[in-house]
Amino acid sequence: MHDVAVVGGGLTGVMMATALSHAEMDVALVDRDNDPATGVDERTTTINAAGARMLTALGVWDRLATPPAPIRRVAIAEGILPTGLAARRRAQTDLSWQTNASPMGFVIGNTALQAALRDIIEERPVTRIHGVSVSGWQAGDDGIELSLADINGTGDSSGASSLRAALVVACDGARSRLAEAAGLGLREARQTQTAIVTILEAERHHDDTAFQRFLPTGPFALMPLDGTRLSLVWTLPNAEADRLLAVDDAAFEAACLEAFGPGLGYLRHAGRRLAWPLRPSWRRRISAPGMVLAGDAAHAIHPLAGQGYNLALADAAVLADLLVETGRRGLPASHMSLRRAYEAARWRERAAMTTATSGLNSLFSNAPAGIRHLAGLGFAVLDRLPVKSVFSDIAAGGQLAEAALLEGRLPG
Amino acid sequence: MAPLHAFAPVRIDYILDSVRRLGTSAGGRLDGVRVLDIGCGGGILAEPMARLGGQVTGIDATPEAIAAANAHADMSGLAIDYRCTTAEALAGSGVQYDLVYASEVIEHVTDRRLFAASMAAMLAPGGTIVITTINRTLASFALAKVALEYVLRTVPAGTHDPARFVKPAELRDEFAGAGIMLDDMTGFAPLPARQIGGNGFIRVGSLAVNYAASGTHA
Repeated sequence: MHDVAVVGGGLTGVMMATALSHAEMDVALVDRDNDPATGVDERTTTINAAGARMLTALGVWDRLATPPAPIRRVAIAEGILPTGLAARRRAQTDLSWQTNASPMGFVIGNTALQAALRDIIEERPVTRIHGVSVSGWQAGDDGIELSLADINGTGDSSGASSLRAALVVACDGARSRLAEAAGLGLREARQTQTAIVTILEAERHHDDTAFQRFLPTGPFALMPLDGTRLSLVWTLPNAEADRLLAVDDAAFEAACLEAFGPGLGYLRHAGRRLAWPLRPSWRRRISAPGMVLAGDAAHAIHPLAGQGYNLALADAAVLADLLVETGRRGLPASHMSLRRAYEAARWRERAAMTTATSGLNSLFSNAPAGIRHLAGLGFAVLDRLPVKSVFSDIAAGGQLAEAALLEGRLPG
Repeated sequence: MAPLHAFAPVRIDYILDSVRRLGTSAGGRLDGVRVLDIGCGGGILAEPMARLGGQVTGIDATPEAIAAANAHADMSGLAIDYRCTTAEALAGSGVQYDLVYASEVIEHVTDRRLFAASMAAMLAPGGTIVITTINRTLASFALAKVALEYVLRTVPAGTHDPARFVKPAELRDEFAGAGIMLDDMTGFAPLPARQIGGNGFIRVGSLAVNYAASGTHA
């Protein structure tokens, strides 16, 4: 029997198994994927300062094939406004700030991050079970038995059709089947928005700045990448997103330019457009006997602030510390004290991030049109809300969770 | 049994700290340490002690408890010497242990002086004794008796006889009489449900309800 079975071979699962392998526990990783080098992922991941310390401690940072792009400045503005009066008002309300010290965050291409994680986990004492999916589970007093199904008969499960672990860490995404099987219900809002995710190449350099434009239809966010490239996350009503996913590059570039303004010169489309349905959700609980949820399975938040992966990193860092503590008490990973402590430790950040990102989004895009176009009033509202501090806290990162890995130390 | 499981971490931490404080074992583990768990029940504390390297003997006067403890240890793959006996009877055989503890037991004992003498007799030189129990105060009566047994019903009614709850000074005196100096005490208090550490217990200064004591030969 393993102490811990991590289920999910995505960015969260592989990182989780790597982190927990430092927690004096016997760890297995159950992964659907047979072929690590599948496809190119246009998406990028924003890593805050604490997350960067953690990935450095785990050895992942040094293996990144493309260097992470630093974020040194954040520029926030409401959408392009039509009148001269509005333009003047906008100039008066500076929602931008920067740090003089180390970068407030980094942007990494998902493909590079996945490759570095897969590289590092090969060096860790983690039992890998590839090419299988979890077809069932049974909870007992001392842990969980997972039934494994070979995918396409190509699996590398060493003939094993089941796996026993004291604790299952479900990293199987926002629509986690393990969470559902454990009765950890998901409260979901209707999906009315879709994010378009792609890469743009600007005429002028971004100067290591993350840009957020709050448009009436939803936020338009650009994260700095290498050179003059930027990662775009553009939140739109479903119909508008569908239209912009279908138009040709020239029309898409024109739409981007109209949304963002001329600040960076012409914005050339330099990737594939991916659609990312946004379905705000909340789980009341993220643990059940023998199981904890992590990453998107525990908290699928709005990608606006690019915080999803930072939450996953903090999940892993907190869980690693708790496993060390549990082991040093001579208690098994299945002990109720571990999952209760995890639940309590993650509650605050989970709630804060969910409200912060959904609040930020709706603050700008759901106001009645009449109010939105009263530029002065719009900014007055903005000034009274702690938007700036929310963003700076988010960018600073790691403020709401405490764990050895987030401070750059290995657990234990 | 959930309340006792939730209560386990803080008791384990106190036992390990006491063992370290009194020099019975260093480094947070119990490798080679002979451990006696008096009133072991199903093995809630005995199993962690065995996982940490201790050579554990668990005794309980209830045959059902010993059967359950043996079954659970088999499932956990742990070798623990469980016996259906009492501290007083075992002490007569002359065996000795490096760590002797009685957790949530002494408040059920009729002759505490004899019990203390038995624990003292089985404690090897340089060993550690740990007691956890319930104080005899109005607060402990309200919480441990009325709330747990009749309101929340987390333990069966009649589990505790409040007349046998033990005041810290009485405990100290009775063990001093047996040659054991209990030179450290701490209180335990539950955290509010779903708050930080949800449903766990923490150490507190007040000994008014649950408390623990540790010491060695005077």
